[in-house]
Amino acid sequence: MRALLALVTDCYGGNGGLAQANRDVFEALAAIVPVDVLPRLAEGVSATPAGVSQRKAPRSRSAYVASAFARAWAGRDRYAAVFCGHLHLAPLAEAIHRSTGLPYWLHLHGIEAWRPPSAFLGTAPSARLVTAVSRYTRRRFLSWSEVDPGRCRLLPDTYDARFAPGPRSRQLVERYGLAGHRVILTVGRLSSSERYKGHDRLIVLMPRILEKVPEALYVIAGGGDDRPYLASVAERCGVSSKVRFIGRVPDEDLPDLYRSSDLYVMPSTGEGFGIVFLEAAACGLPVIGGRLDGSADALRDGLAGTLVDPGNMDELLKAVVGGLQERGAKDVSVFAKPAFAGHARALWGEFFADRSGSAS
Amino acid sequence: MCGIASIYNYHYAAPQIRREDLRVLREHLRHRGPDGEGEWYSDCGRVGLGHRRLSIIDLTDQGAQPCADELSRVVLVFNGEIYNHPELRRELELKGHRFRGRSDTEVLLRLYLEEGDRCWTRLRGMFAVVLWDARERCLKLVRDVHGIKPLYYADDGWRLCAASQVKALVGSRLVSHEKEPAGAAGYFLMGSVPEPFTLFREVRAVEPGQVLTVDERGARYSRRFGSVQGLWTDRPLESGAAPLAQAVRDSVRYHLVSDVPVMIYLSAGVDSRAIAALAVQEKSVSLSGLTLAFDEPGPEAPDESGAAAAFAERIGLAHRTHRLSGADFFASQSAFLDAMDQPTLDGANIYHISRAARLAGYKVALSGVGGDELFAGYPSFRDVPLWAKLLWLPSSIPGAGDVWRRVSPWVRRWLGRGSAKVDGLLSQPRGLTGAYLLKRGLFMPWELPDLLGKEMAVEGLRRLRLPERLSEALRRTGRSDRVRVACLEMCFYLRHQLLRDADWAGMAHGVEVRTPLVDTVLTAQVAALNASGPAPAKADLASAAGLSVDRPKSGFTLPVRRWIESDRALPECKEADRKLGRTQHWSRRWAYAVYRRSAR
Repeated sequence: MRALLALVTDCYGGNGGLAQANRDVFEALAAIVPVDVLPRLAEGVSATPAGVSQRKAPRSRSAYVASAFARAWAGRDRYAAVFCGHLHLAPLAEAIHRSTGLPYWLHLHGIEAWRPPSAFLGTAPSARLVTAVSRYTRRRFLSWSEVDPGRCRLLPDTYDARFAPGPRSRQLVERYGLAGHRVILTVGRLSSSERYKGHDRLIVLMPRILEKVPEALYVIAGGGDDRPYLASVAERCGVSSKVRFIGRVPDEDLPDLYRSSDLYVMPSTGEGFGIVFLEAAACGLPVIGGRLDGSADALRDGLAGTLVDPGNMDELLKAVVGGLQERGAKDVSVFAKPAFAGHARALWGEFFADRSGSAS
Repeated sequence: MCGIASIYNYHYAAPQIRREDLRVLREHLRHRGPDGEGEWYSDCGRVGLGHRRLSIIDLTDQGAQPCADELSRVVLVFNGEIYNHPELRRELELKGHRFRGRSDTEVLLRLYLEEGDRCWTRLRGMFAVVLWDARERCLKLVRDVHGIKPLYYADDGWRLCAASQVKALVGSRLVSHEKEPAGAAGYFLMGSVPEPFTLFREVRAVEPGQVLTVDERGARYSRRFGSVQGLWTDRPLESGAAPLAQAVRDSVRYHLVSDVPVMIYLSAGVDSRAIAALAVQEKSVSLSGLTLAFDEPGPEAPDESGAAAAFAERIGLAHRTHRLSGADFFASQSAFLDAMDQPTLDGANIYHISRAARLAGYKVALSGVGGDELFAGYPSFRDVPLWAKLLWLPSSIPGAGDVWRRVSPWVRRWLGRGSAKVDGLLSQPRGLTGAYLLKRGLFMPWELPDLLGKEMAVEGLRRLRLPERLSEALRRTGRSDRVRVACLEMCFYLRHQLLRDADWAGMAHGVEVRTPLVDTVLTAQVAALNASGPAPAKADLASAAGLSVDRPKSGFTLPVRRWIESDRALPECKEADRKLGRTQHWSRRWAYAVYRRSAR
């Protein structure tokens, strides 16, 4: 059975959302096709599941390109296809395709695909399959790319089974001082260059929220260079004591953090999909997201959470106050791994089964 | 002939469909089917089919749609007519199929159940079909080979909505309103929006002669069952070519299958007269002729009513003339442009004659559209190959195109005549495609930034790739110029302009316009005759119908020019005058006015 050569930024050993999304795809495909991962970066060493092997990350960009070419060229009869895990790697996948004939699968995570990247050579990559995590990302990609829309499909993010309802964690409640509060939570990187997640909008809204729900507390989880700015916004609004920055939370603590909160809010304008919505909802939290980006998919057009116009403060206030009174989360199990894996395998079967020598 | 609509929330993450969404979509097609409505939803709640009915065959409830078999294995909605449905029915009955009514829809359903996707090549007619196959758990969208009937879809990655008209999809608010620059660029280059593009990025036309299959993974073309090029080049006729007279007579006879009276749109030209002459020999259905005449005839739109009436009397066809005045035209101008599904340079003629047909109580009409493409009636059949040869050498000289583009406006000014298209003589691709773009071109590519803005024009031309699309249409068409120009005319001008106009303009009044000269069997017969002997021409069509070619080719035109230059013209016409200048050809100003109106 021929294998899949995966060109990704990071995967096993990586901590970010991209690494997780790549791992989810490969674990789904490993049941039907061996996956050979070549990461650009590898932060640590991590075990790979059966059917997936990960190569050592080359030290430099040029070494990565050379390694990818050498591997694809030497293994052009061994590989069925190339998986390209980031749009910025698409020129490499395109070049490999042109020189070896190997078809490639381009996976789009979000904001990177909303505008043509300057380094992108041409706007019509010969990708046999393009998957986008959300309708919004797909639409933005198709607005500049010449890829046939029929070859551009959706493969939404999925979430791990460990995100499930459970009791509040006494340990976390104590650690972060959550007792006696109605906790509004946002999890995400605090980046000054990407202020789209809407932390500042929610901080500005806190005085009005506190008028209606005095015990409200806004907990911001995540590290990054934008914390001083957000702290200054909180101070200016006079809500410093009601906004708590808890820094980056270890991955293993995330389910308990969700379970120890009352409402997940992220009025973002730049989500490719918003996997955190799924994780929060799967842990039993009501969720609120923006309707102008990929969040609409994670919230299933409002079935799995409340969608708001992120710039409309009145609408956001109404949703937050309503959400704090809400009991029980909406069902997001449709995004759980079995459906995701089935869909990923079906796409492989449709587009690449002719080369892999295996049934889908 | 009807309006069809569907919604399929195919992706596993998508919620169930909302019934009110399908109803809203369907009601945007109400004008296409005033006689009834229907809807069907799958048990899984993810598929909905909607229908507006114009009853023509089997006027009872048995002909209602959506149409399902007794086990609901297959459910379909269908727009068009299957002219050979009686013989297909007999064949299916011999195989044990039992029918509830007499409709062609039920025959289509049973034929699909019997033969699956092989059935599409068995159909003689015009059709756009959406069917749900519960056995394969997939939705299929299918159009006839010529693309006579329209079918558009919008796929957002979760949900695929389909409808007979672009305006229904966009008006339903179920699809993105983001503009498609390629659609706008194509319109200005050719005078109609070239498929698969529309003016909206998410909305596309289903490819004629192909099956678009949608399942839980998404939408893809799963089968090509025919093409215009294939009709001209691939299809061996088992029994050899029939005499032309028999082939045309056959097509006319098939196109008369109807349970309601049939109107013939009659001008003084060969195509419509040939159809009328052959139709009156069939006694199967009540027939009448209709000619549009103008209160203010002129050289570009002569009054043909006298000649048409005399001809009708000679062949024993009941006939009436509808006189259209400038006042009528102005009174209906807004309604006409609002009914227009996609901007088009043409359509006023068929809109007004269909209105007259409906007022006379008719809902089926035969039109001579397609005759010029099939029998090489256009000057393009002579000019395009000639221009291609003449321009080959000068176009090969590096830089000649740019130099000529700079010089040509001065030459035109000095001569005091000549179209702006002349500037592009040496700037088009070499060969037939370039010559065709010149012949059929309305504006030249370098004029688009003025009309659309630079960014949209550049993006539109890049996405449209019109020369490449024309070249694609010429692949595997052999060496015959006649066949190659016929393929271009049938795949572009006929499909994107004439047939689209016949559809929306007829359906705006609930009139089904049938096209006996756009027929797969007839095209294959003419192709076979063309391959085995002298190319069939208009004179042969005339003699096949027992006519003499006693007058030069006449179009079916309206004096639109005088009307749009009137003081009573729409504000968009005045805007076009200001934008382009009154010295520009009226068709360019009209095209701009129509586009501005559609972009409101």
